[in-house]
Amino acid sequence: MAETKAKLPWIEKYRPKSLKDMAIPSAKSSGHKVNLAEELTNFVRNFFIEIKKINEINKEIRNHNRNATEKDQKEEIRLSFEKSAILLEGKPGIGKTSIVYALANDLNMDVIETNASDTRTRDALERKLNETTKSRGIMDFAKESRQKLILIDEVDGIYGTKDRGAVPTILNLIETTQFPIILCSNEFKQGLQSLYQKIKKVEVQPLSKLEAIKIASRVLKNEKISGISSGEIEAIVEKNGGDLRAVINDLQAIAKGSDFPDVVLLNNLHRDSIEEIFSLIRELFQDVKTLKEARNLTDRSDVDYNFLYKWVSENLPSFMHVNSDLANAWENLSLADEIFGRIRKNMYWGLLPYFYDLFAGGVTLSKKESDSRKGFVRIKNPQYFSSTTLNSAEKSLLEKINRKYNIPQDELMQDFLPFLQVLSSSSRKHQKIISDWFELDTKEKKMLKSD
Amino acid sequence: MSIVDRRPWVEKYRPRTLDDVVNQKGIIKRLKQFVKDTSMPHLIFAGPAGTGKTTSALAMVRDIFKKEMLPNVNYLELNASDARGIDVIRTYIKDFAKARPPVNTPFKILILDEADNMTAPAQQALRRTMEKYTKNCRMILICNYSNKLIPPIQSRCVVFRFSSLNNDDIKERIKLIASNEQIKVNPGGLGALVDVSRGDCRRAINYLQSCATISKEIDQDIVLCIAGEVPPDKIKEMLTIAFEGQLSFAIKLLNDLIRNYGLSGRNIIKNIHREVYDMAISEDMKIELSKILAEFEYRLSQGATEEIQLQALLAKIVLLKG
Repeated sequence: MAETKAKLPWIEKYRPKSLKDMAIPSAKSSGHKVNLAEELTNFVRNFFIEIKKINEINKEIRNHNRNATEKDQKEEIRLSFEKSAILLEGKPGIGKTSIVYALANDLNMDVIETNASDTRTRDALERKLNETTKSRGIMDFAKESRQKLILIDEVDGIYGTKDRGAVPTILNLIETTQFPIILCSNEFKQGLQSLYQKIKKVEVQPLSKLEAIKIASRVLKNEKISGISSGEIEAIVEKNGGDLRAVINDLQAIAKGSDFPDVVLLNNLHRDSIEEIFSLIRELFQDVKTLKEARNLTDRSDVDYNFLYKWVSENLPSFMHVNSDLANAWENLSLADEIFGRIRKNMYWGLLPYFYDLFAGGVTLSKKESDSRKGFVRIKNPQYFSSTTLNSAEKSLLEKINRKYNIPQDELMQDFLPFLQVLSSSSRKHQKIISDWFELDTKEKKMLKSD
Repeated sequence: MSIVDRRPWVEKYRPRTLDDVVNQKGIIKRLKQFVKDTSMPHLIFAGPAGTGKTTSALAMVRDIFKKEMLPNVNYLELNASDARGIDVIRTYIKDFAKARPPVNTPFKILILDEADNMTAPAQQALRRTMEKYTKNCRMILICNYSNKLIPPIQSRCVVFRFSSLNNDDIKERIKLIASNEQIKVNPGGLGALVDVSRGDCRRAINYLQSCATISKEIDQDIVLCIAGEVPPDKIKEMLTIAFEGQLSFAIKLLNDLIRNYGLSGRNIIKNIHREVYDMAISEDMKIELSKILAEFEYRLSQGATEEIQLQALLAKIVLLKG
């Protein structure tokens, strides 16, 4: 029976149990370098010291209130946001979740975790977390019960409609918690700004190459695998750019199957990276001479049409500077766009090859005049396609309106915002009603005043 | 077997075990090792259609469970036709991953076919489930475009990239199936099957089965007819005539094509488009031609009359050169 017992994948097998076993990634908080392990340990320790004080003070306040007249009632005090919660932000696979578990293990605490695999509406979150956090009884601090650490993982995986009310609930939770809260996130997300503003953020950096190589070598040594050269380890580390989890996953795939690693396979194991699309775009604009070459390039690439199309349109102005070229290129892009519109409208995918022809070949081959500008062209990421023009106040205004009505951003900007502007400049009364309803601050209110 | 196996041939001849999978040798070697060690990380199989991704995943499951494949018990396969929204990921799939595997089973396997069709929220909801219940359940995510899988998911998996099958592999497969089904495929037919399938083994087998419904002896003409394709030189001839400015002659050739090959208008346009890339005209003109073809194919898709549209198309092509 022992034989059927499955072995854990390396990535779980080598997940660190203690901060001492762990390569602590470097981190930054409001511009300053911090030691992440110390930072978190201190955060948790200080939290318990402070919360104890606050509980005692509140107990007195409650005693006082019981005997005092209505006029003399005092309000209970609360621990500040920065002292109750801390946000770890960083790329996938660099050890954010692992460090939290290692820390809890070291401090002999239990982790209560909620992540994107849980529904995170207000009700669901409250059910899961509030019972543990709100209980103010002295019983919770009795010696036999282990203390708890709350981990709200994958904060950026909170989604508008399905997780309605999650952010206010989390904020409320942070205000009233009896246990320290750590949040983790991969990237900044607009919808969570109200959360980010209030809590302390620590940016976790990817591990250094050297550190990652050290860990990779240790894992291989432990697995008694000797066939992988240091150059190959370095190549794997390099390819994954600080994502240690990906490195270890790749190692396991490479190391098995034969005594020595398969170089071809090594090259085939890549995850998508931004560099790849960069070089694809560069090749498309700078090297391609015929329609056939352009199409071969798009066929060979691993990215889908929609994605590629956005990249081409975003980077078109960076590569062409002569007006007649630009006019042709935009014309072809616009035709490609029209074709794509027809595809989507009629769900007739037969037109897809022409779409490719026009946006890949048609755009890049429009470059006729040899360019006087030489040198390195910076490739732009189309992610910011529509939001570059918005400042933070505009964004937060849209966000607040969206919270009430949940309509797509472009629709909001085109149809809804002008309507609100007219309405709110019609009278002070209307303006107040609107800003109260959306809970706008002064800056956002200003945006609604059409001049 | 007393009952005739009436499943489509792609199913009937789908390789059952990893040993039967003919191509992607490097990848298959690793997968076998995972089976031997009963230890595997989460996997992503990425690559074009018909390159053996689903086949390899199912073969691996079969090899691990030694023919005791019990859907919903030790493995689960979900594709785009199953609901896989964020709610399903948070309930059904999470529950599947959470529950301990049956006795004597090392771990369960969840296959998510066409994973690139899952929404970003659904993928977000999946990531921690992948990690937390690794002990109970390993996942294989299958997709055409790995860039549609969010980075945190890719980080949790080993990504295997399947490449298009080479012509010899497809030929071998066709020959094997043909001899099993007692069909003769002559060299011309074999070459045509490889051509029309463009590295997609499933397409090759589907065409083979379609051809077999017409005749037990398959040659080039049958294949091209089934695939809706015309011998490339016929199309080239028509285009050359059009470029020479002889519109009425070009239209006559067009009518011959339609009559002799029984092609639809859209198929004719597709066949013309295939020739565009290698024609002896300037690149600009190729792009112009592509625009014209796109417009006429669109009109046909909207129900326009084939005769009128195709003749108008040829007239435009005649003008293009002038």
